[in-house]
Amino acid sequence: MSGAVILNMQNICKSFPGVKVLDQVNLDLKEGEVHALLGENGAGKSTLIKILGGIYSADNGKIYLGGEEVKMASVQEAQMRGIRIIHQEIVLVPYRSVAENIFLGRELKNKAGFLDKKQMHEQTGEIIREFGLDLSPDMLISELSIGMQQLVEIMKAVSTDARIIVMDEPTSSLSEHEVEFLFRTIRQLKEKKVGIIYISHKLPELYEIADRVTVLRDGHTIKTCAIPEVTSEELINMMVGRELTKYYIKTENPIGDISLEVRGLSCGKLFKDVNFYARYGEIIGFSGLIGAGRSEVMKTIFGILKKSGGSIYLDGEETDIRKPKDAIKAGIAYIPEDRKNEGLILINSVAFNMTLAALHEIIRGVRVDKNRRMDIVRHYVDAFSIKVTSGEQLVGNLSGGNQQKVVLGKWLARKPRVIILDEPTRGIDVGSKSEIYRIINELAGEGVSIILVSSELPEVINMCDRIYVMGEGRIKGEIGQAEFSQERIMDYAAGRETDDAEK
Amino acid sequence: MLKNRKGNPVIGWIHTNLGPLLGLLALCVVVTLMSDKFISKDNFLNILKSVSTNMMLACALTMVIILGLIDISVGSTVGLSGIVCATLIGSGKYPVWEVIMLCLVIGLCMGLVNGILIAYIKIPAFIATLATQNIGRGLCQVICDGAPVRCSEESFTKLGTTTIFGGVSITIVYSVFFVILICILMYRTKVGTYLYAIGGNELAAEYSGINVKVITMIPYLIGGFFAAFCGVIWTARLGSGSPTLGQNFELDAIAATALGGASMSGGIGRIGGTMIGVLMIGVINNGLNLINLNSFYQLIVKGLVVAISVIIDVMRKKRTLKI
Repeated sequence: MSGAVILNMQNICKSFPGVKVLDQVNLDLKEGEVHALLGENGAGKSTLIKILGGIYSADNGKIYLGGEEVKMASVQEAQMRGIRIIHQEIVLVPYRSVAENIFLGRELKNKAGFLDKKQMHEQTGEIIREFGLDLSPDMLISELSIGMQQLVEIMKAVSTDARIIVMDEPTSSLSEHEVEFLFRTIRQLKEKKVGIIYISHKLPELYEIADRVTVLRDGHTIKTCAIPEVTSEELINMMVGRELTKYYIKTENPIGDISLEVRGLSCGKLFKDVNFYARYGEIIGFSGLIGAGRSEVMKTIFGILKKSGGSIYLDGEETDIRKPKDAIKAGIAYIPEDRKNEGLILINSVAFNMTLAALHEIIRGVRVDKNRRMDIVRHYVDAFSIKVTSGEQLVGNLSGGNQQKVVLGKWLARKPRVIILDEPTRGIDVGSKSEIYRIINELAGEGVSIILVSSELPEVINMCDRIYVMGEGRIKGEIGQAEFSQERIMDYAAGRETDDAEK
Repeated sequence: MLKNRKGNPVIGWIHTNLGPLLGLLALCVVVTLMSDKFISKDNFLNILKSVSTNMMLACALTMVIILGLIDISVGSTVGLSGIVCATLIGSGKYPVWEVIMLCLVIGLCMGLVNGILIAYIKIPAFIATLATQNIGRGLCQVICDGAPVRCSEESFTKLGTTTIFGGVSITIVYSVFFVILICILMYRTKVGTYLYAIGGNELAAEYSGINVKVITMIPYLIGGFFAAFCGVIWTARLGSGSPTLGQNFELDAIAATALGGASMSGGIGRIGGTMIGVLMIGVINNGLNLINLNSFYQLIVKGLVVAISVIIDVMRKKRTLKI
């Protein structure tokens, strides 16, 4: 693996208003190498590759391609220089065909200068056959499963003559079978001397596919080393920067009666026949692959989606929840995954956002009692140590972690019985994450039922009392604390039927 | 939908545009029942003639709407181009062709301004085109001082009044020509693909190396050009220019696009569907004229038909797409 260095990024710095995301980061890539990029959410990995891909420009630092210094001014330029990025979020055009998406931006033309749809169609068919997938070039992206969409993204990047391919968490929504496709493709690419930057949280994957690894933490390069020379414990410590045991804060809390129970809940094609219960003081986890239907279940319980069957019981009584207002009245709080769009009004102040769901408590007659409002805000700012200059600061200017705490405060002001947290730590820095775990644990200690939806296995394993695993719109299994393990969860999530999955 | 592509292209086309086609058919049946004058060659030609300018504008609007944007300035560009044309030709000092060229350039400029405001300065499309709409309409009034202008020079008016093949108005020929050009642009070149891509997922388009800003300009330029051309045709047809020419033209064009099944949030829509939508509006207007219904009621009927057919379309999509 001692090929020529094809990419060298030196002393890359990048700041966004208020935060330094990258500080003197270095990364190099050899031909035919898989170089893993490792780091917590918010460590700066995505920013670094967006700079490489011409989406952001670096404030400082140099990029060398094959020894020549280049400025990546635009996406077009990066692609011209043979760099392709498979983004973490799926960026395909939903209502267009697979073929159109694969050739987007580099359409084939016939002799007359018009689009050669037939040729694109045929070549797409060939690529699909090479991958061994069951897919037609005519199918619309919106008809495909999330995993299949991810594979289309991968095919799109691989089918070009790229010299460098960046894969940002390519396996996050793939089944095990699909991961095998991906790894086979990566090995083929290595033979063609393509350099691959591979971003993933899943350490076992890195040991299987990567040659070297660079660890980023809080925008700094911590270390670059060959994969066989480092243990996964060392990697985790480098990533987190402290002992893991103190990272998750979980105490044994007294567990009470059943607070929320769901029986036979269905919502069209999204999920079917979901049964589970939560108890007071208990933290239950919902694990599974992206697109398994976890968020949809939660949104149905909260009245955002309309259920097509089944019933919801609170304290043993059947409760009819048709809209979020009913759920809030029943004492349920839902903290959505997409806090910027669904959780907060970014152009308003911290105080405004925090008291939005509890307005009835601070309204005197027809006007808002500003003193009461500030009392509530001050209480949560102190309790959660939210870093704000004042309650009047705009939420849009806070970091992800502080934004999430504001959302938490907003719902706690209503004193809910059941709190549903959907990916509460996504995109949040390590310090804030740990504090959010502390808050979750405290709430459970106060007797609140917590439902934690999370794709991060260590998070559910370390924080929960029980875990439900979802896959393909169904609950695939329930795991008690004594039996927690990553393998077990993945077995259920990937749909591998074990003996006790069928009850 | 695309699965039918390998089969007969005509059947495929009918299948893709089934909703709007059925709507058109239903309208035709209703009008036939109400008036025996509806089914005749002359009446059909009359409908085609009356929709010919809306056809062009609606095609341009469809491209804009596929992007997920809007253009409400086309009507006032029609007016501006028409009034400039009438004033200059009416004065008799300028050659007809040069005046027409000038009008088309004015249209392109209006489109360019819209495009720059929206793609580069990032002003919301509705507000940007609202501003240019007002400016355009204001200019109309300023140029002619609020009064209609006569321009009856025959070498000019024949551009809008000539008929060929025994009764086919020349304006139908213009619109067929431009619609074919638009179809080629949309379905045989990159531009169309890119419009769908940007409207469907702008990020995906950008990350695929598409120059989103430049592509966004194109429908606005085409819209401006078509609007100016329509202004010239209308002025020629009427033999005079009026400062209120083209008022609410954009609304008919938007209605036709909606009738044709385009999604106002972008990414979905077809020129073929829009053409059917344009015909639907033409048949409504024609039918109501045939039964001598007061034009005030025509607006109400048109509004109802648009609302009802879009409701049906939304419900249909809900059933097939979601649950």
